[in-house]
Amino acid sequence: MTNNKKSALKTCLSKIGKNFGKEELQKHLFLFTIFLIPMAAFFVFWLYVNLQSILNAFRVESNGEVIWSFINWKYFWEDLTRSGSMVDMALILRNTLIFFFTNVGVILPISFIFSYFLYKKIAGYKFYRVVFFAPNLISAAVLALLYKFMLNPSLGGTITKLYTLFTGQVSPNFLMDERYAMTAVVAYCIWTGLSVNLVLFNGAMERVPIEIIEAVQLDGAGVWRELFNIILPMIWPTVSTLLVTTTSGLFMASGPLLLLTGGAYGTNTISFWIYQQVQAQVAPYYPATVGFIFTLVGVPIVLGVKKLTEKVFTEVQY
Amino acid sequence: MEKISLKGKKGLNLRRRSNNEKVIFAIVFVVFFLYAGTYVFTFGWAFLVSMREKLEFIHDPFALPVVWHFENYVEAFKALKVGDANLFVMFFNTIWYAGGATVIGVIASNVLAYAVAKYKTVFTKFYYALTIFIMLIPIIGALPQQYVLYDNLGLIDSPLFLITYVGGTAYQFILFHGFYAGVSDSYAEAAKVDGAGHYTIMFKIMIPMSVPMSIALGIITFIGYWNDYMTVLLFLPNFPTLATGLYLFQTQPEIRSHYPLYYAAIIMSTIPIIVLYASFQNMIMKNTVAGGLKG
Repeated sequence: MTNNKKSALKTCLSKIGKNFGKEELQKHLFLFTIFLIPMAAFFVFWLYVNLQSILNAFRVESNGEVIWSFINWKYFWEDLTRSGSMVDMALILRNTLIFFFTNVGVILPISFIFSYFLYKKIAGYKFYRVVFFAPNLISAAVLALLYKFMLNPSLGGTITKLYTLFTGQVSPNFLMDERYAMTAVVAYCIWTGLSVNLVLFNGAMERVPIEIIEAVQLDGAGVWRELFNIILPMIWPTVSTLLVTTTSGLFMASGPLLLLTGGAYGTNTISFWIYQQVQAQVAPYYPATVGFIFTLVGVPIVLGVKKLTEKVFTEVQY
Repeated sequence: MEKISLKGKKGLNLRRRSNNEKVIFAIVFVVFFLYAGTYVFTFGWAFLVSMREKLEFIHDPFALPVVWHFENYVEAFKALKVGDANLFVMFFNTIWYAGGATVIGVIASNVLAYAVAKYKTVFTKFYYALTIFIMLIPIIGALPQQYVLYDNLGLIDSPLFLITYVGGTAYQFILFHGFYAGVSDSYAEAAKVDGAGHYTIMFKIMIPMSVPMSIALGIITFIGYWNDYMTVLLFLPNFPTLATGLYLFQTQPEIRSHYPLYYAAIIMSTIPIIVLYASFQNMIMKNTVAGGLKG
């Protein structure tokens, strides 16, 4: 390097230094090293993947060549509206919504009420807490397989025995029968789904200041008033977070389908159907189209629920 | 948020329950009893089956064990095979997969959350918003493309798959962010006056303060990966973990003559997790309560 260039570089650096300050430079250097790897991972594993996936919604493979096309959007519409199509998209969508409403309309409220009675130290609450929290730790694979065996008549499954006892008829194999499979999967979701919410609600309720509960009790408020007028607003941040995350998982949650039915017998959902397409190694274009359409449907729903949960109770600080 | 003293807990039963309330509590008690019963029964049944003679089970699934076959628990290690992997291999795969993904993810989330919480720059604010955005708005249907990319990078069916966890997770990030936001700046400022640099402050002062939370979150995350089957089945098909191995074995014809061994394996696969959780229960409860989602 010539002297000229060296001095030019020096003045340049000192200029940067003046604008930036040595401390600023060190700070940014520090942040740069921290974010370098995660940002690289973000660009490759998230941004690239998702951009490609969105573009795939407008692509199709024809004679070994990938071309731009809207044809998959047409296929999607046909699958959704026409009966007897290759993929019963209407059924898949219906199931997805059933699982979502089971979550929001059944599992969340039950867990909320259950966890209130644990918090109020109902007789035996210590024992119940252990038993109710435990499923959270146990693999879905284990729980689902045990459930599957309980519903299998050829293995003397308990539930099938009970069915025979009460109806006097031979029990169907609930998970392998189009008439019952969906109900059986929903029942499983409720049975195992309470656990994680119970842990979260219980943690939140334990943090409600005791003075407030005491004051309410001196006022003579009953169980339900205490539950819905006091506890619910107090733990609203937890409730709303759960509502929002459940909603954002609306089209992403595939639950126990892989373990229980493999998506067969009329139980498939959007997310699990996409998973199956990957397992079957089919071209990514059609699943990407379906996914992108539901992304578009999902965004306003998530944002709407988020807005709504913020409106219900203004945040309480304590 | 203020710390709440625990002394006042007695106050919960300050007032005697009215008759009306007693009825409600009694009904809930019965519901709880039945619900708890389903779990106790399910696992009690699994335990009984795990003790039975292998073939006897198929002939009469509902009988109690005549002789208690404790050796089922030893035999299960060799007899339950998926491909070349027996139960030992599945345990080993589970430990490296769950352990690796946890350590990488928790460290990444911790460091990132610290940087975002304590350095307010345009970029860190953007990063926070980005994390919330990604969490709220999932791009559905990206899985096929993800598979193609991982395949091209040689990550499928390779322990290298763990590098996909270097970005941390949104859930951990938000909890750590909440933690660091509550840590006073005075420690860091005092250290700065003494001439400590950014790295010293991070590694010597801030991160050590987050150890209890890191352990608590680490255990929760570890349990999640220990039980994870969908990711492993898709991306690491030749490294069966306990969750995927037990799932795959159940689809093989050998299962018919192996049910008791299979139930023994199911019970063994859950014991480490329960012991782990029980040992750190208080620490976990204290450090991982999800609060509100801001932004």
